[in-house]
Amino acid sequence: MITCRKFSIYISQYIDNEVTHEIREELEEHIAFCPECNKTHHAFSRLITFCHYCCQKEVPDQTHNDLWNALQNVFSAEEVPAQKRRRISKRRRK
Amino acid sequence: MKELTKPVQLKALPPPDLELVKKAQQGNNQAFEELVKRYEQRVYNIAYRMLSNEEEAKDALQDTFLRVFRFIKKFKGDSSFYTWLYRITTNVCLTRLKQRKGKEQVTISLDEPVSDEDDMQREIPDDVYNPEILYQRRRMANALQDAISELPSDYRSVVVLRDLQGLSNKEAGKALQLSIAAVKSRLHRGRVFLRNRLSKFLETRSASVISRSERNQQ
Repeated sequence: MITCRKFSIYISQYIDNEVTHEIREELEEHIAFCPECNKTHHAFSRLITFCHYCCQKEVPDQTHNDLWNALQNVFSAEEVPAQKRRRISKRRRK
Repeated sequence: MKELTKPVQLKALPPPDLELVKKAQQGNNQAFEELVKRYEQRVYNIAYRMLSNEEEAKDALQDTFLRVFRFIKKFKGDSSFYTWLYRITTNVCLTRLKQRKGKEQVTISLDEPVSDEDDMQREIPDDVYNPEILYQRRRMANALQDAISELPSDYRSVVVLRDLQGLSNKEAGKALQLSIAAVKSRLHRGRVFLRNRLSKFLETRSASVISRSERNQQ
């Protein structure tokens, strides 16, 4: 038998569909008869839906540009030592 | 007589992450840029949700990709690239949160009117609903972000990866180097925390606003 306390432990797994069929049935029976847990269930579902719904925030243009500038700086800083290494090895060969 | 149909032009599938990673490991910067393009927005979102601050999210975004560039040769492909990337992102954010400790943290009570700042408008996609609904959603989005910023950092990283970025328990566990049981436990505690903080929104009139978005998603 599922109690309110047990329900509060299972609520996340229930919403994520991670409980066994038997426990699911027991939880659903409990929700049907317990107004408080019913309220909790709805609140959790809405919370998770809203998290999914409002999660994507666009990268501001300036932030995007700054990232690309930083990357270009790193790329060119990597190229310079590589060119130097090539020049040194050429000199050694001579 | 059957009509002749134009041959279907198949678009080339984008190269998988691992192919780009291998090229990037060999010094191909274009491949690295492609990876950045692919994950820039997701990394930015994780950083923004973790840090609740646009300026810090911007710095964290840069830090993350610069670290990835520096250490990409060490990536062995034991996990998927993005779980490795998200691990670096959350580490960068957690370090910033630790550095922030001690400084005064401003928290906003849910009882106070939520400011209607311009930047929050971008959080909610444009739609055709009435201004009242848009306003309620904006309030809810603000309140959610405030509540997330009050979450203990251990729970925050799990909630951000699982509920906001949609990773599975296994993926979040790999990214955060936690067992699946630990992910589940922290996720549950994080959700309980958020639910308590947002109970006014989740159980009252704002609920109808969320319910509408539920219906629209279906």
